[in-house]
Amino acid sequence: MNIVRTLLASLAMTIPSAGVGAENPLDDAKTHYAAAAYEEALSALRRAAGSPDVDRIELEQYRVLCLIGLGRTAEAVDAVAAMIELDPRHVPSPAVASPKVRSLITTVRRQRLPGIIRSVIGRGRTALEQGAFEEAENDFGLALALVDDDALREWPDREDVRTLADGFTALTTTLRRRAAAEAVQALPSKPPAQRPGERHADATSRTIQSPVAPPAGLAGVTVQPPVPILQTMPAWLPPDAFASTREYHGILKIEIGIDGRVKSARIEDPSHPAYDGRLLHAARQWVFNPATRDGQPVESEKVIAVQLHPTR
Amino acid sequence: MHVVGRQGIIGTAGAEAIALPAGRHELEFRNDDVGYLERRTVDLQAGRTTRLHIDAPAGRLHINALPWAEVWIDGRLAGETPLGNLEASIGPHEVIFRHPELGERRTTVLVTLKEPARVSMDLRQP
Repeated sequence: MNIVRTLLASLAMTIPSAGVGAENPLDDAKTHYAAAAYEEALSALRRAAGSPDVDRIELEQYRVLCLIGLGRTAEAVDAVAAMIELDPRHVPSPAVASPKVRSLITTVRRQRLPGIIRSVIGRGRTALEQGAFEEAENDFGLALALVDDDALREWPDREDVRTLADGFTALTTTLRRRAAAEAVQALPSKPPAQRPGERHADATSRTIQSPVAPPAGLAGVTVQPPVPILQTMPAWLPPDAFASTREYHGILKIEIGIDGRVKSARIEDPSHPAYDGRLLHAARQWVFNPATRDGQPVESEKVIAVQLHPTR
Repeated sequence: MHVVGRQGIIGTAGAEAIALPAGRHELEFRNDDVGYLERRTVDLQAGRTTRLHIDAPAGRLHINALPWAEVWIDGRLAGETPLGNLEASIGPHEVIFRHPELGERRTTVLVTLKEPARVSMDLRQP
């Protein structure tokens, strides 16, 4: 038990016997940290790291604080880097971190953010090339937000990179709108004929509706649709020769929870009996970044048009 | 700090001179509260005062504050929290915590050789 020995008990905090009775491993670490028991706090953080529910960013933040307290600056720098990797936008507020701590974090962010921004733009470009417009927009938006970070005020490439990210954002918006318009045009019509020599994936999906309507009467509420993290379509394996020469269409509707997982999936319009069951099974494994309303995760629905292409 | 001779405690270091018979004496300087013990041998001559200087060794000190604070130890700026592994001579030290918005608090911490002393202050508490 770590008890601070004080002579002026009226002013001093009594340090509790940290670790006793704490249920959340991070709470344990916080208690040790508050008591200036940095080594014990680091041990508690190592234990907390094994918990699937722990807030990783907060964990790294406390690791940074403990290592700074112990004067283990090189390790503190590594912990700051880990924190930046988890969320490059995260900076402890002045309300919780001293100028000394914030200064170290700013120094590391100044070194690391340019590389992260380039990486995010590269990831956005890949998403754009794959037609994943929402992911691309998210990445370019993140890059723009990071470029404007105070830590990068002196970055000589700042304006060039902002111009680059701005250009990609505009390009993505244009391509997304064009694709949406094409999708709307294609919906009520017959499926497009396969042109000779054109290759298709055997089964493709297209989001045709992802409503996250703001509450009635709340103008100005910002809503963001769910963004797929894992949305793999099962392969189309035609059960017979006839089916392999035909094209089928169907509609799938899913409900996405605030944790990004699919709460329910149902076939609104069957595509083929040999495919719909497998599609439902796969859909229940999909994972999304949940839709948000004013930044808060909300449940949402997604309606997906399914197209099974001829395999012969 | 007690001065201990063959016959037991004979005085306190830093206080008035201790009268002892001339000759060789094995003395202990000890403070059990801070875990300090040092032995010295002195040869005393009749009619003369012999001075002994004891350098207080340093112990370690960890200091923290919520949300954070600038810390002064015995009137000297030690830095901003979190602070750890500070060296301070054994014995009591006055620690002042200052925050630009939450004001100032002070306390005293006893630094020992037994284990690092820890002191913290929650400036958010009234």
